[in-house]
Amino acid sequence: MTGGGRDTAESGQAPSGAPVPPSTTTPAATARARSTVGRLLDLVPLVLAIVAEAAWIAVAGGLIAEYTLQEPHLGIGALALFVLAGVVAARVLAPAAGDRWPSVALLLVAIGGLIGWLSAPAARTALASVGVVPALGVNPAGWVAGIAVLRGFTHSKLPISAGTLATVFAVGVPSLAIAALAGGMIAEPHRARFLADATVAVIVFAGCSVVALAIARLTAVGAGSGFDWRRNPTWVALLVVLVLTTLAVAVPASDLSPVFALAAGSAVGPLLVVGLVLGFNRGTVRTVALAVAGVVLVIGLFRLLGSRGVITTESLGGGAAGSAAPPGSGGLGPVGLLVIVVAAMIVVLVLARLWSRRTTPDPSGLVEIRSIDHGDGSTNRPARRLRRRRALPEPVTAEEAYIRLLADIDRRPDVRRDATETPAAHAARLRGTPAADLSLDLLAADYALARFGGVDLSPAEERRALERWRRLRRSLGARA
Amino acid sequence: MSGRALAAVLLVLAGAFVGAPIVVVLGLVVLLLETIRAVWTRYGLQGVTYRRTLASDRTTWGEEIPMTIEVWNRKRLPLAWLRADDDASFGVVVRERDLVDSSRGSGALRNVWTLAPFERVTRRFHVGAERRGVYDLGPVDLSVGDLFARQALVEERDVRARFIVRPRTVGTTGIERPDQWGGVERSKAGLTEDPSRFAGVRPYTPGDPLRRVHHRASARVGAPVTKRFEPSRDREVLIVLDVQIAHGPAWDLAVETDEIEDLYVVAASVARALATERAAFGIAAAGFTGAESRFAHVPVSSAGGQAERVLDMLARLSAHPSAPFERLLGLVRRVARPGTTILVVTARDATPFAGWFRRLERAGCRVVVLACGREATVDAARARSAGFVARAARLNGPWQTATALEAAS
Repeated sequence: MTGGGRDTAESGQAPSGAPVPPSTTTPAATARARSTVGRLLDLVPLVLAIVAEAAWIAVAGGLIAEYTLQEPHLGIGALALFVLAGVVAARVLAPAAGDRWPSVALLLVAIGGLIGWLSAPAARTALASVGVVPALGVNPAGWVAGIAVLRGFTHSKLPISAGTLATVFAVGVPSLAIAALAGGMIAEPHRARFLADATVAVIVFAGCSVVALAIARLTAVGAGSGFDWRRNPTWVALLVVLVLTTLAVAVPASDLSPVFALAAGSAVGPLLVVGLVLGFNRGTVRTVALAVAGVVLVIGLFRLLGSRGVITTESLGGGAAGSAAPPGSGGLGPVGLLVIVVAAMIVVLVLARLWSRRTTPDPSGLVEIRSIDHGDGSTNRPARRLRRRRALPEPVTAEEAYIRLLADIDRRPDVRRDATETPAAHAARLRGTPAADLSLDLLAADYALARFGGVDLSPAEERRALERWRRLRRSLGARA
Repeated sequence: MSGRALAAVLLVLAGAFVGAPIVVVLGLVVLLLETIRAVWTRYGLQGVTYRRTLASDRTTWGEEIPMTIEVWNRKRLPLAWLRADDDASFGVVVRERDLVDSSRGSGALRNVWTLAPFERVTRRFHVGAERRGVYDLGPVDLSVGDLFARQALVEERDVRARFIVRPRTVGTTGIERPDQWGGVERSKAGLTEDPSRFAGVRPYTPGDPLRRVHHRASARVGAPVTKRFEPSRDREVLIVLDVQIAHGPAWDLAVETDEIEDLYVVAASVARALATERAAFGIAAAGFTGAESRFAHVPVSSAGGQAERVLDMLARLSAHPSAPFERLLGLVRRVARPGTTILVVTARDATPFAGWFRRLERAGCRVVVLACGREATVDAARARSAGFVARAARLNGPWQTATALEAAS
């Protein structure tokens, strides 16, 4: 197994370990690559960022609702629409408003909050029956829709800012942790409802923000250099699989002992990386994915059929009221989530295969040749311990001495003879090093005379050649 | 363990102890990020090769050298991004890319790749320079991003290359030297070869005078051959370049870059013309070339590649003088053989050096002043009034676009 046999830019399928013909990206390919699908893929990080923003705002709204002993009415989906409205408003209205944009933005935030507040029927009823001020106490969590609109303003420019996303993640993680701790202090049933919704929101937040941040960083790094995240589908697949797998492991592990949680959670990344290093080709991915999917599907079905606890579909969105089991109480949540996650992994792997045929050519028209090259196999040599080293006979001629020297120094990449080097060129290359003085030149010359020149060397010359071999073997650091 | 990793562990432990699964999940996500970062920090640049290849190590101003940059990720870890900031001297121009500011204060050619396992990428560039000179590329800073595209590792690799940009040359008109029997100037057809110093024969080439054909030898070898003679010693030309463009202390002058470049283009064009005429020539100048000596000197020779040697020296020569011109003339007096024509290429009035010129003439050399400054005609007239052979020479446009060096008597 020689590692990832990835498709190159335009060469199609690449079997693992097989030589892949190089692909050339030229300006002519630029127009082809910028397809509609390509432009839609440009929006992927923005969509992820919107969902991540909506997720943490949903937790904030849920906390407010919990502390006011009410049910939250805005889930992640609804809040994502508010964030999207903020993005669109900033892109459309900000240039037109000019200097008046701050005032307009404030107005939009207020309108967003108002709509969020009135999204609850109870708030509308209270407004009609008891007036404005008393009605403000109903569905106060709805006002977080204004925050969603405000956050949308920050993602109005494409490509989205990696710095902004990094701030969202850096501030979001401790804030969500504090919110989770604070939310656990309220009495049931609001506590269970909040924790169930917050768990989903935190998973969505972590997954979306990490992936969006990575893509945004890569886009920023590659800006002006003619590539973006779609140029490396292996990377995209690995990133998504890693994040999803971590979340899938983290959720059930979070209910267990801290030591087990730490061990399980922290082992995911290294395990996948180790798997990647040991061999992460298509066959491996396919086999592992299918096996995991099958096992998890069977377990999930058994649990679904045998469980009495119910989590309504609305609770995944954090929306309408419903009886919710606390996370971990029934075991259905983690397992069901695992099924979804594994299914997502398979989809991602399929998408990775599709993406591998897609390229983003260099806009500057730079000629670039890409190929998968496993080299001369020096990196894939069989384990040394498996090879039994036979005791080679001592050389008796200059010709044998030179060949034996080559075998002796073959494990030293810095001094061994390259496949393209002649004996004289090899000796000339090493002549400057302290380890090999003129002896190698003389030995190589003896070899050339005897091997190719048809010259019969005298016994004295043969003896000197053998002495040089012994000296060079020591000085060049070869192991006899 | 980094601060973030420690915070992640604390989050997991705290969440588990207080029974908050959300906190545990968040802690594990952060822990994942830090673990991945550690892996890429450790192995990210292992097996990554960066190779820069210049098709040639010298070019002429206005032309470009094809350059190939190849990176190879010789391992199974994919790289979200690999960035190479290849340092470049000031003045280096890459056709396909604008240079960015380097961490070392110079420019840098920035390339970024996203690499799959075992992926090898080759990019082709064309490199040139804003003006003549010696330019360096490298070292290169390689930085790599982890799986989450965060910068994981930066490494400097001492991959260096150097190329020379020679001054451009233009055609010369009106400065052919008259053919003088026994004179000090070289004729086109070699009339002033020393006929008493027979040097053998060579195959006949079209254009050779019939009187030069060696009939007996031609009959013997069955093909026309032409007689060769040793050149007369008095056909050697030493170009003495006055790097200074205004009178004053050599160390206290503002450098007018374009005027200096004009001067170098003139000198290079004259050298090229002499090479075309198969003259034995050399050059001397008081400028820095990167060597220890304060004077740059290519001895007079008619060997092949002499023009390239002279042009290389002109490429290396600094734009500011390293010593007063008088000291250079003193050096020339020591190295020039009697009979050598000293061609003084200067952009200023040469009459203050008349004393040195006369000493050179007394030593058996002939001094010809080629005035090519802003007031070339006036300077040439002054030199003639001082008793020297002088001509005014001027490019027919800025040095970047001029097409000819026009000389007037």
